[in-house]
Amino acid sequence: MNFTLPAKARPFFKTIGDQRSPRWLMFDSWYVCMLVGVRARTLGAKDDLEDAEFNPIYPDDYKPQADFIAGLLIDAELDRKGINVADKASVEREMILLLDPQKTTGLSEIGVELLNRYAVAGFAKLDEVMLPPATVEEMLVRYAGVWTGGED
Amino acid sequence: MELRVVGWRYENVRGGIRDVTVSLDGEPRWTLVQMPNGTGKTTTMTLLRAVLTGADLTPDEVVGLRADDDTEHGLFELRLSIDDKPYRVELELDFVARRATYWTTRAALLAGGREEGWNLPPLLRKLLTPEFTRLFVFDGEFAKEIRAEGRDRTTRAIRTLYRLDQLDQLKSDISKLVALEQAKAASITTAREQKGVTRLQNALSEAERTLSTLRSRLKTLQSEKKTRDARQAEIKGRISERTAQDEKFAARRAKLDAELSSVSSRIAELSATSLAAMRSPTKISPDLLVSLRGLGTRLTTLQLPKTISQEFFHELAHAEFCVCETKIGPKEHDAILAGADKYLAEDQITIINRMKRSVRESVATGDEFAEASKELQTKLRERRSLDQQLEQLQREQVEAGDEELKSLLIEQKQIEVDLERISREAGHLSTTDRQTQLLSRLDWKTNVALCRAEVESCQRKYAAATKTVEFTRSADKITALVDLVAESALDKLRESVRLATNEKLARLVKGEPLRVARIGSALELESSGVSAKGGVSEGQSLSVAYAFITSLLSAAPHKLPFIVDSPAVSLDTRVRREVGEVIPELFDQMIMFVISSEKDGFADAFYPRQDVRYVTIWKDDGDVSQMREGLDEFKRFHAAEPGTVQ
Repeated sequence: MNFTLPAKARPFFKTIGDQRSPRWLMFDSWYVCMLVGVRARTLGAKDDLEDAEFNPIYPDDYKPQADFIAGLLIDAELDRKGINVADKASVEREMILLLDPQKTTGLSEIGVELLNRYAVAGFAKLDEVMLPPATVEEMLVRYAGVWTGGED
Repeated sequence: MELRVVGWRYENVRGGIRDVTVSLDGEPRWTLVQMPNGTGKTTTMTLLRAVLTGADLTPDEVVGLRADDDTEHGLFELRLSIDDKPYRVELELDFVARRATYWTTRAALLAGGREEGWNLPPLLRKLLTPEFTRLFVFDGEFAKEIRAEGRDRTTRAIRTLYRLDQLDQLKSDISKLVALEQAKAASITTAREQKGVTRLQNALSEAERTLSTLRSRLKTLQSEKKTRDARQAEIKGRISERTAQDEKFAARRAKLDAELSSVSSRIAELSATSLAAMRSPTKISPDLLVSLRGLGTRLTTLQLPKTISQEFFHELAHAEFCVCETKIGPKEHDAILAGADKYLAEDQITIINRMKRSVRESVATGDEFAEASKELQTKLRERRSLDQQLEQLQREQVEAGDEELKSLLIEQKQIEVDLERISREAGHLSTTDRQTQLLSRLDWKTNVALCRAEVESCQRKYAAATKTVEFTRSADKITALVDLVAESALDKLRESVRLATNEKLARLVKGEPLRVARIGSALELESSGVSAKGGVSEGQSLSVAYAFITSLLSAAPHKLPFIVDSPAVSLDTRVRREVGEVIPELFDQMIMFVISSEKDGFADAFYPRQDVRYVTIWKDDGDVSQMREGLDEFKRFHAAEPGTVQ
């Protein structure tokens, strides 16, 4: 499975996607949703994803972040599943499940699917606290508010 | 292909034939089998035809072959030579179960025994149809039929014998190829005729027209945008000029423009910084940084990843001995491999170590995004305030009576509305994003990319249909040619057989103007040769049949035996002699079943010939068939035959 947007995310971010500068990537839309979902430790439904996968790999701007994203996923999954962090075997099993070094993202199919589902839950939260942004600048300010201002 | 009869054997069949074997070893060219009426001559002909064609016998037909009510089993065995290879076909008759079973012994199987079924070579299966077999396993009844209109015996015989049916096979193969081509194209298009091609051509033309219209519209919109952008810049300049010309507002305007320029430039910088910070999970929030560092610490505490990887166990499983020097057998091998799955692989370990190192070495505070976006928010507010002040300044100018500025502002608003509309329409026309196309309910009539795809799809269908129709058209041409060839070949064959038939008739019935005028579905005789009573005698009919069949068979690509029942019984002595002299020369093998009355004028024509086998079969006083070979026995034997020509 590749990175896939939540079904309703595309129209929500459409206006800022058309802005020339600064350039807002489709992957940015997926990423901002995913991070909110990961922080909330909430998975959305697979059915709420778009039918078409939009990206098989990280865009250049995100390549240096691949290890952090994998780390956040492992941390979120250990927490969500209530795995005892002192249970070495369970932690190792989880890492085996989520990582696939053969993939350019370093994530297994299951890992990518989970991130997509975190993005679904994250989008639902964003949709609650903000209107579709008119500019990238407005998006950045509002999104910062989501992380600092208790809007979530 | 050459087919010869090498012999046959009867067991318990009608006519009292209990156990008789006729052997034609030595391959005699002519065989005369003398069998009085009632001794199984007709039965022999029936059995010969059945075994040569592999005919399925009905229960009644099986019972009809029974020697008597006490007989339970019977047999007829025919030995053949096909292209010098021996074959034996047996027809087993179960009179109780009323069932017949064929058995074949082929050259290849002679050592290995029989196989059930009628298994002569494929070529013979096609050739030896019941109807065709009657041509060379011949009786007087058939002589009448080949002259009967509507039975179509003659033409069909020519077609079969000269393999014109292979042209039918060729046509059938062409049809299959056409069907295959159409099936291949069916995944693209179902159009198979010109009508369908025209429909596809129209669809393609419409799609191409629509694409041209959409592209032209997009070009128009781009041009309109360019014009409006230019006009907008012009208006902006004019508004600045208007303000600059007015001393009352000029200084305020200049100050606002400078501030706006400075703020806009800072906003651009801050947007880029914020966006870069947002794209790094360690800079977006201290919470995330804490999570990542906590994970790294936990993994270190757990001593994960382990230093022993899956690879170690995979290598160990294939070793002969364990590190503890225990021998590793299949059981241990499987157990080690199963256990290896619990360990991280070498490259997974690398990922985790890299992740731990990245987190450990990260200098992020987690506040970068918040700080950059906070300043960005401040600058955005400043810009909004400056925009409002500019609008206020323009309002004051308009109120002070600047009509030109007023109209410029109105036009500027209108241009903004227009640009919004143009942007929306051009976006719909030009978007290639599938999701946007779906959400905006765009189709090939409203979107250039979808229309281009439609054109390509129509082109593919049109090309496939054109190719298919072309293919079908070519196939039709070839089929028509094949029909033409078949018709022409048949005409020529019919004519050559007709000429040969007439040539033989001239010798057989000297002095009688009996000639074939035309070979159609039957043999049509010239009216001058047919008696005033409107018919031909049985003898004449038989002469015509002989002349025709011998002409047909003697020039054919296959050599077949000619087996005939009572060949001269209805001929007068003069014609008998001619038949006895002319016909035998035409075949490499002839088997003639005669009755004793036919010896005079017909059989005796063979006595001076070499290479003749004489067989006499008769019933003894116990009503059991007996068989003897030899000319003397043949000549000596005499039985009163009813209905013979003396």
